[in-house]
Amino acid sequence: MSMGKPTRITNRLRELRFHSQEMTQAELAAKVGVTRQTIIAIEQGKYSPSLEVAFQIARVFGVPLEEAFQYPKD
Amino acid sequence: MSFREKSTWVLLAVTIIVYGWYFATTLGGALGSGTPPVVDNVRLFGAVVVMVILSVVAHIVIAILPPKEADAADERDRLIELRGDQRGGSVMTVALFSTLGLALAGASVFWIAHAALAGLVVSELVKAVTKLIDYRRGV
Repeated sequence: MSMGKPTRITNRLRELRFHSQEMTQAELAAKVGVTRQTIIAIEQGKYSPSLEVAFQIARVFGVPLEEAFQYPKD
Repeated sequence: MSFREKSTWVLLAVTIIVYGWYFATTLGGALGSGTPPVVDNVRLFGAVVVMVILSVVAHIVIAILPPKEADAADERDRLIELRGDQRGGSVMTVALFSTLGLALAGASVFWIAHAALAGLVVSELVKAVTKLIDYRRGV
C-alpha cells in the first residue's frame, strides 16, 4: 500500500479567502465546482488540485496562479 | 466527510456484515462435515440480494441526513476511486488465478464457487479500505 504522495505545493487559500470577505470553504468549493472536502484537503496540503482547478481557484480571487499556489525553488 | 467517503464506509460495513455472516455460517459447517459440501443457491443469492438492499437503504439514509452533499463527486473523488480500483483489481487477479488453480486441481464446485466469491469480497474490502486511507491521509 503506497503512502499518499507528499506534495511540495503550498497554497495561500486560507489567507485569500479571509481577504475575500471571509469567503467560506463551502462558497469557494461551489464557485470552482468541487466538494467542500476537497478545498479542506487542499488547504491541509493533502491534495494537489489539477491545473484546471488551480487556475479556477486563482480566478475566483482575481490573482495570478502563483499567488494562490507556490512551488519551492530548490 | 464527503458523500463518497460516507458511501465507502457504508459499503465496507455492509460487506463485512453480510458476507461475514454468510462465510461464517457456510464455511463452518462445510469444513466440519465429512461429506463434500453442496452450494446452497438460495443462501448464496440471498446474501447478494440482502447486500444490495442494505446498501440502497443505507445510501438513502446518508443522502437524506445533513449535510446534504449527496452524489457530489469531483476530481479528488475520482482519483481516489481509481486508486481503489487499481488495488482491488490486483487482489482480484490473484484471487482469480487461485480459483483457477482450485478448478485445475479438481476441487468441488462448492470450493470453486466460494473461492470466487471470497475473491470478489476481499477485493471489495481492499478497495474500500484503501479508499478510506486515501480520504484520510490524502492523495
